[in-house]
Amino acid sequence: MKNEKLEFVYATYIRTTPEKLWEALTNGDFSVKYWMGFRFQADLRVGGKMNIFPPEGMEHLGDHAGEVLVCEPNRKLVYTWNQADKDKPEVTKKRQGLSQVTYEITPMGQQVRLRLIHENLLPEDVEKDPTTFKGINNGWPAVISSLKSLLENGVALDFGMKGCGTKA
Amino acid sequence: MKQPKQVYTLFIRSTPKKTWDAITKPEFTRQYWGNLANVSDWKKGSKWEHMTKENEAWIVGKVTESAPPNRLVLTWADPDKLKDESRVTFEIEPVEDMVCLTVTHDNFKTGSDMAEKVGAGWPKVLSSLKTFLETGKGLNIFCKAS
Repeated sequence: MKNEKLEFVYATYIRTTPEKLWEALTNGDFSVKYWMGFRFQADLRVGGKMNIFPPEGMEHLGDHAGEVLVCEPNRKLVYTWNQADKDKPEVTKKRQGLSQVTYEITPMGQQVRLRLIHENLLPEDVEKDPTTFKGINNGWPAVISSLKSLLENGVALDFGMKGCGTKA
Repeated sequence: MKQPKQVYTLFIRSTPKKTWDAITKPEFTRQYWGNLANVSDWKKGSKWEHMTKENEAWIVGKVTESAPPNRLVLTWADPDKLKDESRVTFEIEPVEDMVCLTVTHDNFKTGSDMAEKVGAGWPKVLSSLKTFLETGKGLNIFCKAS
C-alpha cells in the first residue's frame, strides 16, 4: 500500500444554468458566501495562477496555491491544488506533485450537473472522523451543499465552526 | 476483490424530523424521487417497498434498524432477484441549523451489478431531496445531458 493514490469524486445536481454555476465557482465574491469565507481567485486562462485565500484567523490552512490547467468557460475548469502547505513534513515527503481539481459542468434540461474530481491525494487527506470538516471527504460535500443552496434559494449554508455530527 | 461501497454525504437546511419524513413518507418521496414512493411502517423487521404510482415495486427489502429521526438501515433488492441483496444506511445528524445526511450503500453480493446501477442514482435522488426540502420542489431525476 505504499504511495497509495486516492481520488474523491462528487456529483451534484443543481437547479441553475451553466453560466451561473461557472460564475459561482470562479468568482471570489460568490465563494466567500458559500465556502466558509474562503476567497477563490484565479486568472482564468491556461497557466494562470489560482489561490483559495482563507478568511482572517484561518491563515494556517494555507491558500492551496496552484495553476489553471484547463479553462473552458461554463463547461470545465481544471487546476492544481497544493495540499502540502498545511502538511506535516513526513506527509509532504510522500506527495508526488500537486493534487488536481476538476469541475465538469453538464446542462441537463432545467438543471445542471456539477461533477467534482479531486485526484492525486493521499490517505492522509481523508478524515475518518465525521465530526469535523477536516479532510477532503468532509470538506467538499459541505462546500458543494452550500453552493447548491446559494444558487437555488439565494442563501448559502452557515457552518459556524462546528463539524458534521458535532453535538452542540 | 474489494467490495464496492458507496457513500454520499450532503448538508440540508432542514431538521432531522423533516428529513426523516421526506425519506419515509410516500407523499414526500413522490415529490423528489421520480414519482416513486417508499412504503413501510418503518419498524424493525418490517418489509419496505419502493413503488410506482401503479403499485409496482421496483425495489424491496426489510427494515433492519430504525431509530427515527436519526438512523434507518434497510436491505435493498430487485424483486426479481431477491438473493442479490445489498444494504442502505441513512444517517441524519443535526448540525447548526442544518442536517448532515449520509447515505451508505454497501454489502453488495459478489458479482452483483446493483452497485453500478445505483451509482449515478444516489447523487441525483439526494440532490433532489435537498432541493425539495429547501425550496419545496424536487428536481427531475430522470434528466439527461442536454
